[in-house]
Amino acid sequence: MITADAREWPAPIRIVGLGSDQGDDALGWRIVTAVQRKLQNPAVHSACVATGAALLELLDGQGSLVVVDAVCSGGVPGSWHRYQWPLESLERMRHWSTHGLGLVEVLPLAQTLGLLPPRVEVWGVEIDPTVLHDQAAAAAAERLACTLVNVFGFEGCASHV
Amino acid sequence: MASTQRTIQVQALARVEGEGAMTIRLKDDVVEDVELRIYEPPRFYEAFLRGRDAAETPDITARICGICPVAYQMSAVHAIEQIYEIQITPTQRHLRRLLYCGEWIESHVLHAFFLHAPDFLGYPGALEMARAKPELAELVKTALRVKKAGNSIVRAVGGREVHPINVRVGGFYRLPRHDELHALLPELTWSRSAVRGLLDWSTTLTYPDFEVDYQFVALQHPDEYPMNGGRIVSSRGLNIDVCAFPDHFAEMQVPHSNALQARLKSDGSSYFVGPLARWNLNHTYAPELVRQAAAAVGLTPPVRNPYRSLGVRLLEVLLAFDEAVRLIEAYEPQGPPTIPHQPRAGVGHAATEAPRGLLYHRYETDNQGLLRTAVIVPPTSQNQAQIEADLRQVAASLLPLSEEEATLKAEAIIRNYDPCISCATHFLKMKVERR
Repeated sequence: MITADAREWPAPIRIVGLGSDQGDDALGWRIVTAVQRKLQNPAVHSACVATGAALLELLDGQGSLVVVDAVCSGGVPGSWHRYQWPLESLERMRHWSTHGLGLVEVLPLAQTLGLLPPRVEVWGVEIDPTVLHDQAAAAAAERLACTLVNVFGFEGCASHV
Repeated sequence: MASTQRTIQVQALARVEGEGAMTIRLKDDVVEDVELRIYEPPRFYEAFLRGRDAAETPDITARICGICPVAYQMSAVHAIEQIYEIQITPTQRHLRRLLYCGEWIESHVLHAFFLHAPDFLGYPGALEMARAKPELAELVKTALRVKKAGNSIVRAVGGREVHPINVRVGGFYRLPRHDELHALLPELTWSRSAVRGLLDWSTTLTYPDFEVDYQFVALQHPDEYPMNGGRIVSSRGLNIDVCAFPDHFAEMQVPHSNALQARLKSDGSSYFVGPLARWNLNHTYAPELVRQAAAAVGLTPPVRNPYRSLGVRLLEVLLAFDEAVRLIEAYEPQGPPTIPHQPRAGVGHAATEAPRGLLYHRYETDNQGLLRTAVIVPPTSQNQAQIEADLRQVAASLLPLSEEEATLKAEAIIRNYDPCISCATHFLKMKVERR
C-alpha cells in the first residue's frame, strides 16, 4: 500500500548510480548496488550507469529520480550533498564532463525533451580525487545506502530525510 | 607597416572526449604554428600490461575508453588469438561483428547528434539545440531511441552496455540465446527506418566548403564492410597485412602533447582514419540499401569534406543496423562459447575498425602466456597530425573573427574527427596567438 509519505515520491521511483566501477568514482554504483540487495519495494527500480547519456536513456518523464553520485566540489570528503531539481547552481557547472554530456547537461536536456520525472534529486558523497578508497567517503556511502533503503526500501516508504 | 600578431587559444575543448587544448599562432595573416595539445596525463596502459596474463588484455584494454570498449576488446582478442593460433567459429565471428555494430551505433549517434550537429546549427550544445525548436527536440529524442537500440545489442551480446564483459580470448564466456537476440529485432528494424529519416535531415545542414585530398587509411576485407579484420589499405595505394603496420607507420613524440602522433614512415605524411576513410575505401562493400541511401543524400565517394563525416557516420549507423538485423535473423547459437587453447610464446598483431578509425594492437607473450610487450595505437593518435594540418588550413580565416567565433570554428574542425583524447593519452583547450 502506498502511504501519504510515499506519494511525495511519485512511482515509479528510479534510483540510479552514476559513475564507474573504478576507484572512489565507484561510490555511486556501490551505494545503489547495496540498496538493490535490500530493496523490497516493487515501485523502486535501480540501475547503475556510466554516462549522462545512459542516464537520459532511462528517463520517460514519469515518477521520481534519485541520482546517486560521487561528488568533487572541494568539500570535506565523506560529507553528503542533496540537491533537488531544479537547481540553478547545476546549470552554472556545465561543460565539465566527458563529451559535455554529464549530469549537469543531461537533467536540463531531459526537461527540454519532456523526459524528466516530476521529482528529481541528486544525492552525492564528497570524495577526495587524490585519495583512493577514502575511508570517510566509504563510511558515508554506507550510511547513505542505509538511508536510501530506509526511505525507499519498503512500500509506504517514509520521507523523513 | 606594423605587423599583426595574434594567438588564438582554446584552454579546454568542448564536446570532445577527454582533456586537451589548442593553440594557433598567427603573424600578418600567416600561420606560424598550430598545436593540438593533449595534456591529459599519459595512462601507461602498455607499460602496466607487461607481466599480466594475456587473457586479461580484452578486459584491461577495454578500460581505455568508455565510448569504444568493444574496439579495444576486439583488437586485443584477435591479437592474442593469433599468438595462440585460435580459429574462432562462424557463430563467434558473427557475434563479434554484431557487438561491433552496437558500438558503432552508440558512438556515432552520440557524436552526430549531441556533439557534432550543434556546430552546423550555431548552438553551443545539444541542450540549446533541443531548446531552440520543437522539431529539433524531436530529432534529439529520435536519436536517443536509436542510440538505445545500439546499447541493447551491446548489452545482449556483451553482457552489459558499458565495458562489456562477455568477450574472452577464444570466443565468449556465454553465447546469447536465440530468443535474447530475436527480441531485439522489432526495435532494430524501427531504428533502421528511423536512421534513413535522420540521414535525410542531415542534408538540410549547411556544410562549410572545405575539401582536402586526404590520405585515407582503413581496413579492407574481401567480403564485407570492415570491422573486425582485413588488410590495411590507403587511398594512395598502400595494401599491407596488419602485421606490417609497424613497418609503415611510426608513432612520434611531439613536445606539446602527451599523446604520440602517428605518421607514415615513407614520407612522414599525416593520414586520416575513421568513417570518412572507411567509406571512401570500402563503399562498394556496403549493402545496397546503404549505397542507395548514400546516393540519395550526396555521399557517393569520393567524400573529401571532413564536415560531411556527420552524414557518413549516419550511413555507417544505417549499415550497422542492417548488418545487425541480418546477423540476428540468421543467428543460431552453434558450437562452443570458447575454443580451448593453451598459452604459448609469440607475437600477435590485430587491427579492427573502432568508431573513430583503425585501432592497432601488438602483443608479445612468453610461453606461460604472460605479456612481454604491448603496443596500442588508437585512432585519435593517428588522426592528430591530420587535425593539426586541417587547423593550419583554416587558421588564416580565423584572424578577422572574434575569440569566441574563432574558437567555435577551430573546435568544429576538431570535432569532425570525433577525437577521443582519453584513448590518445594513452587531448582539448584552444589558444590562437596573433603576433
